[in-house]
Amino acid sequence: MNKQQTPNTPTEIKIQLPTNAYFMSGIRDFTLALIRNMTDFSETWAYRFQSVVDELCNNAIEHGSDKDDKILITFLTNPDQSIQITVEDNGTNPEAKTAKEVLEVMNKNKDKKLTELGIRGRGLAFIVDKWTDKLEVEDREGGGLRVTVTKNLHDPKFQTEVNNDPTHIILNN
Amino acid sequence: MADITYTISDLISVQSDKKIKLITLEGQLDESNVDAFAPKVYEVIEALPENSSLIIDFEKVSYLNSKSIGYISDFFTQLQAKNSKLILAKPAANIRDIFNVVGLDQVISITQTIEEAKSLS
Repeated sequence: MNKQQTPNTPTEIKIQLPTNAYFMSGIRDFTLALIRNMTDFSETWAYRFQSVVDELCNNAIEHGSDKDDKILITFLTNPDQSIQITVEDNGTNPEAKTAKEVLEVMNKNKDKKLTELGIRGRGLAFIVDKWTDKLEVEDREGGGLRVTVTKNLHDPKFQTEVNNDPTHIILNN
Repeated sequence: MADITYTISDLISVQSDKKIKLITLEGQLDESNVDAFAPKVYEVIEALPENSSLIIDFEKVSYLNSKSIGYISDFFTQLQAKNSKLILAKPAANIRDIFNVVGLDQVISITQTIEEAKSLS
């Protein structure tokens, strides 16, 4: 599918996935193709979102779910505006954390040096947080977490009114 | 499931007394395979004498996740404890981007060529 055929209205795609890392390479391929073909994000951002989705799903599978469970991934593309990705788990892992606990761990890890962290702890605190404009973690009714990330195509930080002043440079994303 | 293959070889050092190991990777490192792969690297590190270098060639790696970064950071710590170096060579732009976002480039040497990596060894 080329970009001329893509819809101009928001498109929602839901994928339910068994809680097994075996399937993640397929989800990464899908994410890359979705960003390339259905959004105006650059190639760099296509790869970045591949990482964001992989990290969110791995967290949901490993920390939020028991074996033989499922997670739900929702992609919401809004052409020319943004992409939103939500990953939901059922909290069936006996050691599943609440939204408050997840955010506390993430904020602690953000302040640590690279070599102070163990093998884990970089996914949400570095990759997901730094490569998205909005990150929300919520407790789901009935158990589990809902993690939603949004990346705006036109970062509001870099939007400014056009003027002819040659001493001002306008940065575009 | 993601595939990762690797080869381990010896490189000749500019300083003749230094041992340099090269691990060349091909494929993707993710949650499905990184825990099985990492012990192979620990074995290489364990066998290296003091004052050595380990170069990991990432040219043919198309993806790696945050846990892989965690292992790389730990390889670095283990090598440092043996007065040895870890150098990451030839990462593609998307892999370099991941190294940068987690701050790996601030701690570990990253080179564009194997020759450059050898010169840092």
